[in-house]
Amino acid sequence: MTPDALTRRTMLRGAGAAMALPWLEAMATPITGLSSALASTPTGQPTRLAFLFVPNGVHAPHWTPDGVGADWTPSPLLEPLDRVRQHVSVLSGLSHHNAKALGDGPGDHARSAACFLTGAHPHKTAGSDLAVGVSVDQVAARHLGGRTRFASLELGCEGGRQSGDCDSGYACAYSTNISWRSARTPNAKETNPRQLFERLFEVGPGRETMEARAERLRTRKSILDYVRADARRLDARLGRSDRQRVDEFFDSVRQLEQRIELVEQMEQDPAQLVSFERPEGIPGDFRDHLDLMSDLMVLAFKLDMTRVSSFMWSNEGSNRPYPFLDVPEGHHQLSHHKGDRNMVDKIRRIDRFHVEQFANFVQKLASEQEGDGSMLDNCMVVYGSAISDGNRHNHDDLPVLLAGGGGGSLSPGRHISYEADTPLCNLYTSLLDRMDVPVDAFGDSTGRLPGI
Amino acid sequence: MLLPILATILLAPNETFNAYCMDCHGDGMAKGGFALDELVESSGIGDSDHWVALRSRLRHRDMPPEGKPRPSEAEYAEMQEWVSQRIDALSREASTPGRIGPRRLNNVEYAATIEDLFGVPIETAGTFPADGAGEGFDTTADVLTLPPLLLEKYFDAAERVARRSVRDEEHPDWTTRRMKADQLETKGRVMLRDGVQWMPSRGTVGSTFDLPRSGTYVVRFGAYGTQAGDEPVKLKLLVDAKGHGVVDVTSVRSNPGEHERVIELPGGEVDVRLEFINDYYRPDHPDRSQRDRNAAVQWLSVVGPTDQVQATAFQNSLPAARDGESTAVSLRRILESLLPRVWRRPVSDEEVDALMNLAAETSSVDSSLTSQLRTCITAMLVSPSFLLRIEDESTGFEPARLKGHELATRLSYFLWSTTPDETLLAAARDGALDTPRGRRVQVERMLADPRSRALAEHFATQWLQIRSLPDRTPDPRRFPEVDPQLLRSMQEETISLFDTIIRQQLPLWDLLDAEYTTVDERLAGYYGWAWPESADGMQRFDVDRNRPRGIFGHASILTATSNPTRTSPVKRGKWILEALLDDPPPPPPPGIDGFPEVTGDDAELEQQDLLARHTADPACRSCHARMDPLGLAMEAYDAVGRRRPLEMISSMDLEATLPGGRTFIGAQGLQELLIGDSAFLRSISRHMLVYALGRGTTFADEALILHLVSALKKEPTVHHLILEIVESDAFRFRSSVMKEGA
Repeated sequence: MTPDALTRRTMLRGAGAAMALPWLEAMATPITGLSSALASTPTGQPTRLAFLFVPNGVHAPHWTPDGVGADWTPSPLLEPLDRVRQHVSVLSGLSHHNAKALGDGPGDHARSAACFLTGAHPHKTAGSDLAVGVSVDQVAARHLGGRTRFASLELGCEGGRQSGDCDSGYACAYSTNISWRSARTPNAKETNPRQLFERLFEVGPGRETMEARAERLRTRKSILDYVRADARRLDARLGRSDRQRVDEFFDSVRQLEQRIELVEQMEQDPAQLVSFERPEGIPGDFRDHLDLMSDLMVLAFKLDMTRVSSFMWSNEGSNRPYPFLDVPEGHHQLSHHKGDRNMVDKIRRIDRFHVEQFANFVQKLASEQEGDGSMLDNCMVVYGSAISDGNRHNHDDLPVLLAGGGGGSLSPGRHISYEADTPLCNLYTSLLDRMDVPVDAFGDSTGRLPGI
Repeated sequence: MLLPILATILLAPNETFNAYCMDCHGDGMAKGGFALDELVESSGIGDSDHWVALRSRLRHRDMPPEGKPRPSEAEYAEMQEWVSQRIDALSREASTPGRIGPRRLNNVEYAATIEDLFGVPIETAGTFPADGAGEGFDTTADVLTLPPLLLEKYFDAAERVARRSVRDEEHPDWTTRRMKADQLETKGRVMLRDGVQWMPSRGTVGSTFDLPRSGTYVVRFGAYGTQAGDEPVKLKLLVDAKGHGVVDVTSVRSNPGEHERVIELPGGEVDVRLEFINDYYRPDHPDRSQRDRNAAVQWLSVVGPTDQVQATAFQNSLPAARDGESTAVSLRRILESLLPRVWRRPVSDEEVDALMNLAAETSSVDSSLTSQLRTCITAMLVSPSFLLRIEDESTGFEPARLKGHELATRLSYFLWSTTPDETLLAAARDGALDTPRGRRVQVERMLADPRSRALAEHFATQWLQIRSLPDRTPDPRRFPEVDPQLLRSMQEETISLFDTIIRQQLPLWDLLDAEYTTVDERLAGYYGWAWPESADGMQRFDVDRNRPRGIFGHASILTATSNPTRTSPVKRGKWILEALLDDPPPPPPPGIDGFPEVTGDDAELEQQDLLARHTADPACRSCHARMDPLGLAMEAYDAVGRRRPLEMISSMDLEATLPGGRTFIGAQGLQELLIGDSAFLRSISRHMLVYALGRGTTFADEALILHLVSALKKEPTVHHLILEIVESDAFRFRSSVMKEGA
C-alpha cells in the first residue's frame, strides 16, 4: 500500500456522528418499509456479495497450497494471505466448462471473462448478436434491487478497448465486462473514482444544496416518466428483433427511478456521515487506482448503498505493465512464458501483487466495525480468474479465493479441495442461497458447493 | 432489387480439378467436410462459405497439401479465375441491402452532436463508459448497448447542456453560492473549530463553484484573525491556483469582518480559495497577545454573474418570444423549431405536446421560459429519439428506401461523425437526396467541409488499428522519450496523411507511397528533422531516404504493432494481413499465442531465430509462413518506430517471400508489391463499408464489395469510394424484417 493511501483512507467523522450511527439507524430505517428481512443476517445486518476479477490466470504450479482444512501451508503465491488467513478460504478444483472452446476455436481470454460470472458459453461473434448469459451478480441484483440505492455497482480499473477485435474474433464486450445485465447487455463498469464518488453520493454540479438537489431529482423523475412514454411510442414502431435497445432503455429508466425514490426517502444525506475526500480523477499509478476504487466499494457497502458489486481489476487479456514491480513487460505477454524462468519470475511478482491487494481489501472490510463484529463477517467476497494457468489457458482447477463470514453462513480460513471439474457455478448457487435469492440452478451448476 | 441469376458462362476447369483436388474432395471423398464436385454442381447460395474458402485456398496456394502433385501457376490462375466468376454470379444473386438495428450514438458522435447543436463541449473520455468495438469499429450497431450506467451519464450531460446553453435574460443568473465553514475544503494545517476554519499556519480553504458562464462575480467571505506582529492577517485570493490580490483582514473574533473582491471568473467548475500567507509565531514575545497570528474563515460565497446577461449563440438561433404572448406559446414555437433538429427528423404534434405537458408539470406559476426550456432540453436529450438512430420499417416484403431524413442522418454520421446540418436537412426535406445528383452535391459539399476530418480521425485510426495508441505504455526504461504526448503526435501524423488524401482528392495509393508527411514539432524532432523557425502547428516535410514512404514509415503504425519492450514481427505481419490485405490469418491453435519475451542486449537480433521455430513446427507453419515474412520486412524499425543503427540493419535478412512466390526486400519492397494490388482496394472498401453501415459484412454484401473494388481500380480515390458506397443499396435501403425472416 502506498503511504498516501493511508492519509485518504475512509475516515469516519470523529467518534461522534457516524460511529454512533451504524448503517441501520442511519440508512435503513427510513426505507424499512421496502425491505423485508431478506439477505440479512440474524443480527439484522445485510449480507453483501462481491466479485473481484483478475485477468490472464495465474502461475498455477505455485498457486495451490499444501494441506487441506484449517491447517494449510501457503503456496508461494498465497503467502500474502497470511495476515488475513482466518478470513479466507482457498477453493481448489473448481472449473468453468463453458469457458472452454467447445468447438469455437481460440479466444480463451474473451470466453473466460464472459463466462466468469455467467457460467455460460458466449456466442462467438465479432460484432453482431452478442449473447452469453445473465451474470450471478445481476441475478442477485435483480432480486434485491429496490432495497438499496444501487441494485449493484460495477467497478473496473481499465476502460474499454477502442479498436480492433479483442480476442480471436470475439467482440470486445466479452473481454471488458464480467457483469451482464441480460444475456445480450453487458453492464458497463465505472473506472473513474471521481465519477463513482459523485454517483454514490448523488453529487450534483458544483456544491449543490440539498434543496437544489431535491428539485433536480424531482424534475428528473418527471423526465423519466416522459421518456418512458416516448420510448413506448417508438417501441410500437419497431420490429421485434430491433427492440433490444429500447428494452435496455426501459430497464435503465426503471433503475434510475428506483434510485431517485430511495434517495428521496432518505432522511439524512449519507455524504454527511463520512468524510471521504472527493477523488480527483483516475490516479496515474495502478496501485492507487485499485486502492481508491476498493475504498469506494467498501464505503458503498458500509453505507448500505448496495449489497452486490463486481470489480474487474483489469480487462481480460490485459497487457498492463507493472513498472512498480520492476516488470515493464505486459501482463498478457508474460503469461505466455513457455517456461522461461525470467518471465515466470515476473508473472509470479504480478500474481503475488494481486493477492496482496486482495489481502488489503479483506483487511479493509475487517477493519470496519459492524454490530458486534466487522463488516467482513457479513460479506462474501469471491476473488479469481476463469483461466487457471495463463500459459496453458486451461479452465479447470481455477484460482478461487472466498473471503468473509457471509453473516455467519461461511466458515473461512481453510483450504477446500474439490473433486476435479466441480462447476464454479456450484459456488454461485451456494452464495445466492445465502443472499436469499431463490434459484434452482445457475449456469452449468450441478448442485450446491458443500462445506464452504 | 434482385438481379437475375447470371448463367455461368465459363466452363469449370474440370480437368485441373480432377488432376489435383478430386482425390480428396470428390467422388464421395470430402476431406475437411469439403466436397468440390458437389460444390461445382450446386447453383444455390447456401454454399457461399465454401466458395469463399476455396477462393482463399487458391489464393494462398495452400492446397493441395505438401507432398501432393501441385498445379502450375497457369493452372492455379485458371482455377482462380473460374472461382471468382462463380462467386461474382452467386454474390449478385445473394445481394440484399441488409438490416441495421437502432444504433446508439457512440461517445464520439454524442459529443460532436451536442457541441454542434448546443455549442456546449462534453468530455466523454473517463466520464462515459467506453464504447465496445465490434467488427473493428465503434460504429457497429449491435455492440452499442445502453446499460443503466450510460443512461445516467446521459442525464448528467443533458442537465449540464441545458444549464450551459440557455441563459436566463429575465431572471439574470444572479445566484449567491454560499459555503459555510464546514462545507469548505482545506489544504495544509487547517482545522474546523467552533464553526470556523481555523488556520494557525500557512494553509488554504476554499471550494469548487459551478458557474454558469464566464462573467463578473463578487467573491465575499467572512473572516477574522488573532492579530499579532506589525501587519494584519493577510488572505490571498486564489482562483484556479492563480493569485487575485491580497485582502487585509483586520477584524478580530469579537467583531468579524466581511470582505469582498469583484473579479472576472471563467464559466464551469472554478476553484476559489483563500490562502493565509503571513503566518507569524513568536512564542517568546513578552506580550502574550503578540505571540501568534492566526486566521479564521467563517464562510465563502461567490455571487453573480453581475454583468449584463448575454444570450448564447444557441439561444440566438431559436425563434424569439413575441411581445405579449404567453410563455407557453413562445415555448411551443421554440420546440417546433428545435425538436426536429435535435431528433434529426420531422416531429408530430403529439410529440411536441408531450414536451409541453412535461414543462407544465414541472414548472411553478412563476417559472420562466428559460427554466421550462431547460427542462425540455434535458428531456429531449435523454429521449431514445435522440440517443438512438431509428429507421422506419418496410411495410411489405420488399426493402424500404430510406426516407430523406434517415439518409441525411446516415450520411452525416458516416462523413462527419455528427448530426446533419441545416443544409443537409433541407436537402432531405425538398427531395434533393432522392436523386443521384442531389446526393452527389451533398457528399461533395460535406467532404469539403472541415467536419469530414472525422473520417481520418475515426475511420482511418480504427481501420489502421492506431486508435488506442496514446494509451499504450512502451517500456519507459528502454524508450524514455516516448510519452502519451508523443504517441498522440504519432497518431496525428497518420490522421493528417489520410485527411490530406481526402481533402486533395489524391490517389489512395499515397497511403502506401506518399513522399510527403505532415508532423508536429515534437515528432519532427523525434525523426531528426530540422524544424523551420517560422513553422508552428503541423508542418509538411518530404520523406527522406531514411524512412519508408507512406504509412510504413509512420511511427504510429510501427509502435502500435509492437510489444512494450520489443518489436513483434508476428503482430506486424498480422496487421498487414488484417488492415492492408483484409485477409486475416486463422487464429493460432488453442493455448498458443505470443512467444517468449527476450531480454538483454541482443534481444532484437534473436528474433529471427525464434521465428524460425514457427516454420519448423507444422502446426504453426501454414499461418506463420504468411505473417512472419511480412513483419520481418519491417524490422529495420524498432518498437517505437525509430530506425535501427545501420550496422544492425545490415546484419538483418530483410528479404522475404510471400506465399505464391513473390519476393521482396524490406518495407520499401513490400510497399511496391502492394501498390496496385486489388487486395488493398478490397480492404479499404470493406472496412469503410463496415464503418459506414455499422454492421459486419456477409456474403450478401460480396457483390457490392466486388463492385467497389472495380470502381476503385478505375479511380482510386477515397472520394470515389464514398460516392459509390452512398449510391449502394446497402446504404440507401433497408431489408424488410419479413424478408429476413426475423
